[in-house]
Order: sequence, then structure tokens, then C-alpha cells
Amino acid sequence: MKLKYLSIFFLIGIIITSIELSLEYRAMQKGFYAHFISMFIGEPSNEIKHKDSFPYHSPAVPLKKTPGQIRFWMSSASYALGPSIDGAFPNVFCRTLNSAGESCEMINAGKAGMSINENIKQLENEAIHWQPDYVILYSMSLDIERLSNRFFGSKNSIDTQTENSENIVNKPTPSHLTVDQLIEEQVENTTIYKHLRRYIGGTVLMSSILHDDLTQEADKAFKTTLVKFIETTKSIGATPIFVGFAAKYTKENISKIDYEGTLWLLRYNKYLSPTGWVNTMSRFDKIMQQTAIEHEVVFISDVHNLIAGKTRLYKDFVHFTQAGHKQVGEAIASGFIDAKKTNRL
Amino acid sequence: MNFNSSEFALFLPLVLLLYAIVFHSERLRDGLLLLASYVFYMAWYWQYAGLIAFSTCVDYIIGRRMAAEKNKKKRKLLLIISLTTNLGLLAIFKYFNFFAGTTSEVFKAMGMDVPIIYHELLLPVGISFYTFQTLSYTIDIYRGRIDHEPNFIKFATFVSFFPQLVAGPIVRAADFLPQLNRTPNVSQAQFNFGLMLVFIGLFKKIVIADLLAHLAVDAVFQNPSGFSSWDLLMALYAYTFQIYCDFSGYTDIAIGVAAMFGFVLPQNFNRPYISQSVREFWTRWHISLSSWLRDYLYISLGGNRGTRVRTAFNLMITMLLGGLWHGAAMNFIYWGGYHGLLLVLAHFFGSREESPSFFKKFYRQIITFHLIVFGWLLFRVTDMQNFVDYTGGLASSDLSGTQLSPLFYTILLIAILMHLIPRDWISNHILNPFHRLPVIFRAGVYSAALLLFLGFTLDAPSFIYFQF
Repeated sequence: MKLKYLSIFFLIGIIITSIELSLEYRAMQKGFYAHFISMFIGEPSNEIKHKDSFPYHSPAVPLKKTPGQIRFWMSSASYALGPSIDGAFPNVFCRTLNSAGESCEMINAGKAGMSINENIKQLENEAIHWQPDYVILYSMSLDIERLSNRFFGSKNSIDTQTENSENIVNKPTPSHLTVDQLIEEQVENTTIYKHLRRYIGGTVLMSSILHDDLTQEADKAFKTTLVKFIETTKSIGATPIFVGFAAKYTKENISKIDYEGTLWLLRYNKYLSPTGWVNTMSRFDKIMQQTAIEHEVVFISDVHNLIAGKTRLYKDFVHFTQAGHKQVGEAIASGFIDAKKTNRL
Repeated sequence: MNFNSSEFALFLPLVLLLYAIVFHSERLRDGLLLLASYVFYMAWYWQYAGLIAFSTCVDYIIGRRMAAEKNKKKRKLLLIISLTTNLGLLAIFKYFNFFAGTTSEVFKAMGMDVPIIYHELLLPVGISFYTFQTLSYTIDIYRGRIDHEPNFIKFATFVSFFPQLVAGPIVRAADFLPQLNRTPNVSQAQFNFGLMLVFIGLFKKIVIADLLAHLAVDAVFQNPSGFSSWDLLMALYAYTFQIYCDFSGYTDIAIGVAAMFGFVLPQNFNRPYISQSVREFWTRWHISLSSWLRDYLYISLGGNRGTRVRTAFNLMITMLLGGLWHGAAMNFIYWGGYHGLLLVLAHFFGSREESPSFFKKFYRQIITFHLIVFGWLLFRVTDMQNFVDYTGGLASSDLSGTQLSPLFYTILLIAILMHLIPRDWISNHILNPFHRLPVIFRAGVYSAALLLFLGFTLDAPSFIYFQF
């Protein structure tokens, strides 16, 4: 055994590193994130820094409620994170209410990757201390993703195990990454990986057998989650409000979805076709509306009615542009004022 | 640690680098191999390294005592202790819940409600493989075929050698310990051959097996009633090649990695689907397991030395236990029983024609292939309802189109061609000319292959045989 035998590994390392750095340089020139180059030259972070005492995406409010103010809690996910704090729709909503004569305080608690189950845990663990008057729920796509993993995924898949677990949020999170997680993370952040996933992985996913709808069991599971959300909200002394979900594509325009759009969907979920997504969203919207009626919860349909399918208001399938955030915030405010006027709140 | 993980892509060159540095010191070389093997195993679940260490210690001590013992009865007693310890661990971790559940069902059927205790212990990866490996050591010492290994580090390395620790091939002490006791001869050619096998194995696993599973097998088996008979048949063929490419891919990587360290592992697959009989299939499929079962179980039961009926009985018992070895579930027992039945039928009625005509040979291959394919259906189904749905769908002759993509058919075709092309042809026309290319070109090809694998890797699923 001689050391020179290993030269081939060295050469493979050099070739792959060269390709990665070239692609990263090209990506940086176009203004995109470049993982390894950024490690050396640094990159201004676009992330909004929060104070530890107020880890939410809205102007800080004191823990103790100001008399006369209506305090809102936004249960959502990455959709509620705008390009800036002011621009995020929950804060647009609050400003619109204030200009209509209300006294609004918003705690925008939405965080990337949170499903409704995780929002429920957040209500139990965090919202209870902030004593909101109203809890607004704007969430759906992550639940579709998790439920399709649960019902279509392999019985042994991690997604399924996670979803089946009662302890979805409270499961112990390691304080540090294990070696394999660290390596995986580094690989997944490379520009090469992103390109490969996009072109090769994407082609594979598009060739898979995709489902055009979720199962009835998923409908039941979604309804159960909504009911639990209502009960939890009421248990912390707040009033729940549901907002109909709106996505870039609907049943009417799904045939126009392009390669990038399909790829974006498949990146998060490898079981549902684009048609499956819009069919499920449409049905889940009805379930949400029905559950709201059954439990006397206000359902604001304006966002879904006015914004769903308006492609120019979206950055991708579910995230809004600045203009989109503005319209969503105003639509929720209008729905809220209307509900108050008609004594539904 | 999976062979198809980024972690392993860093682990292997690092261990090889250290191995090259300490290569000329036998103690350091053995120590490094043992350490690397335990690190490899502990990356999965470190607590279970203690189980391998326990089995290793027990069999090392028993091997020593057995070699020193002349009294036949005491030697037998030592063998029984080894068998009880190793098979006992296997029974507790792998079969306890299955038998507890089955017992409970039997009692329920008899109208009795007997509380059953289950454990929630994880199945230790590779336990079936390393148990058989250590058993071969004590049985061979008992039979006087090998001498015991005095060096504990070498013996522990034999039990835990990382390339084949979790999914074989099952290595016999008689084959492996002598290799540990001499300086491995690692030539440039052998190293290159090993690296090439690793890439071939990864190709089989990531590009063929995982894609066939993703593009058809998983979805079709999950909901057979949602697909036409054609799709069901294609998915069954796909599973046939998925399991072959998954397992033989793992074996190729294991043999390749071992070759890079200077060790020779036995061949485990030899184009099994071109077999002309089920008996021949078992000389080509998972060869290290079938030869283990033959040498340590079938022959111990009496082999073919008794009457024809007794031989048939021995065949059936061997195949049933072979099926159970694969997993603690009824479908594995049915699968073993099915193969046992085919072997028994062949034993009574099989043709022994030495050189059949081309067409007869082809006909036999087609028939045997489809018998094997049907066996895989029993192996893959989740429960009997799944089996009934699947066979019902197949029998309905519903040929109303296909939901499977052109990419799926392309991958299936590649899998079939890879299986049909003789190994010698591949060596002479592809591998040998490739090895003559300058190292920079080979590095370029390997880099491109790695990137291709990275693109094709969906969720880096484990190898199927890890669960056994």
C-alpha cells in the first residue's frame, strides 16, 4: 500500500472543488448566495435580528398588555415573513386597522417551516404569556406537505415517524449538529448540489408517480388539527380567526404552471402533483370554512378570494412579493373590520 | 454509516490515508482496521458496539478453550455455549417481538387473553451477518477445520471488518483470518479495481435500485388497486432488479473497499436471474448466505445422505430458516417456504439434462426467472391483504395504459442489460481500457459520477439488506 495510490482521491477533490468554486463565483456575480466563498469574504445578512426577549417578526411590544390595545397573535409560517418587518402582511394588517381607528398590537409569531401542529405548541408554550385577544391562523401548505408524507410516504420514513409523533415540537433537538448532519448540511449548501438537485433530481421527481389528491384520512387529520387549534386558542383566553389560504396557482390556472414552479413544489413534497396541490388546497379551504362555521369561528375568505391565482403577487408558490404582502394585510384587515361590524367578533 | 452517504465519502479516504501511513506496522495496521470498523458501526448507534464486542469476547474465549480441549463432550458443551449466546442475542433482538406477537395471536384464537411482553429495542444493524460469521468460527474449530486465532485484535477485526459488517458478504474465518495474518498485498491494479467496484456498486444502488423504487415500486406496492396489470407487472420486475442492484451494489462496494485495503472478500452474486433452475439460482444469489446455510445447517441436518423424503425435509427446513433469517415477519417465512417447495419439487421431478439446446435453456431461464419474480412478491408485500390486492390486480389482465414514466422504463432496461451482459465482456471492453487511461481522466470520470450520484440521491435511503 503506497500513499501515491490515494492521489486519485486528491484529484477528485481538486476537480469537484474547482467546479464548486467556479459555480459559486458565477452565482455571486448574479447576486446569489455562495456558500464557501461567503465563508471567506463574508456576506451581509438579510436576516432581521431579533431581541431575545421578543423573538418575533413584528415591532416589539411589552409583555404586559397596554389597556385599550387589541393584541393579535399571528400563527403562520414563512409566508408571514416579508422582506422587511414593516412589509410583512401581519404588520400591514395592524397598520391598516390602526388607520381605521382601532388600536392594534401585532405579535407576528410565524416562523419558517411551522405547520399548524407546531403553531398549536407555540400557543401553549409562548402565546399564553403574551395574552393575545385574537389569534389569526394563516397556514396550510406545510400541513399538506406533512400529511402527504404521512399518507403516501414509506411507512418507515422519517417524515411519517415525525408526523405520527405526538411530540412534534417538543422532541429534543440536539444542541449541536452531529458529524453526519454537519457534513450533509455543508453538501446541501453547495452550489453544485443545488444545480444537481434542480436538473437531475428535478427530472427524477417529475418522472415519479404523483398523486392528484390527498386521502380522506388526510381530510380528517386536517380537521382534527383545526379543532385542536381552536380549543388551544380558547384555552389561552383568545379568540381564533381563520384566514383562507391563497397560493399562486389555483384549479383555474394550474395548467400554466412552469418547470420552475413544479420543481419548487417537488422540492418540498415528492408525492403530490401540482394538480394534487391545488385540489387539496381547495378542499382544505372548504374544510377550514366548515370547521369555522361549526365552531363559530370567524373565517376571512377575502385573501383566498382576492389574491389566490394572481401570479404577479407571488415570489413562488406560497410566498408573497411586497405588493402581495400589502394586499394580504389589507384583505385580512378588511375581513376583521367587517366581522366586527356584523358582530361576529 | 451508509456507503451512499457524504459521511462515508470522507471516512473512506481518511482511513485509507492513515492505513497507508501505518501499513508497514502490523500492530498499527490491525489496530487501525479495528478502530475504523467500530467508528463505522458506532456512527449508526454507538450503544450497540457493545453487542459486537460481547459476541467477539465470547467467541474468542470459547475458540481458545475449544482448541485447547481434547474432551469431545466438553468441546460440544463449549460449542453449545457459543450457539446459545449468539443465537440467543439474535433471538432477543430480532425475533422476540415476532414470536411474542404470534403466540399472542394463537392464544387469542383459542379464546385466551394472555398478556404478552414486548421490548422496544432497536434491531442492531448487521446482527444477522456478524452472528453467522462468528458462528462459522466456533463451528469450524469444533469440526477441526481451523485453528483458533490467538491474537484478539485480529479476531475482533475479523468479526467487525467494516466493509462487510452490516450486510455481508458473510466471510468465513478460514478465508479471512489467514489474510489478516499476512501483510496484505495492495497493488496499484488491485486498488484501482477496488475503487472501480465501489463506483459500480454506487451506480447500482443510487441510479438503479433507488430510482426503480422511487419511480414505481414504492407507489405501486403501496396501492396496487390504483394501477393496471401492466404497471403491476412492471413494478414487480422493477422490484426484482431493485433488490438485486441494492444488495449486489452493497456487496460490490464491500468487496471494492476491502480490495483497496488488500483483502479479498468472496463473490456474493453471479448474475442470478439467468439461472436455469431454482437450485442454480441459490448458487448465484447471496452465495455467502446460501453456502453458509448449506455447510452449517443443511449438512448438519443430514443433507442428501438420507432418503429422498428426508432430503426434501432438510431442504424445506433450511429454506424456511433462511427465510426467517431475512426478517421476523410471516412474509419472509412464506418466501423461504416457497423456495423450499420449489427446491423440493425440483428434487423429486427436476430434469438433470446436462447440455440442453439453446431454446430449452432459454425456456428454462424464463420459467425460473418468473418463479423467482413471484417469490419477490411474497418478499416485498407488507401483509397478506397487500399480496391479495397485488395478485388480484395482476390476474385482472387490466391493460388500461401505464402511469409509469419513460425514465422508469429506461432505468429498468439498463438494469436488465447490466444483468445480461457477461462480466468478462464488461471487464475486457470497458473496465480494462478505462484503467489504462491517465489518472487525471479517471479522476474526471469519477468526479462526474459522484456528481451524478449526488443529483440522483433523493433521500439517501438505506440498503434493503441493512434491516436483516
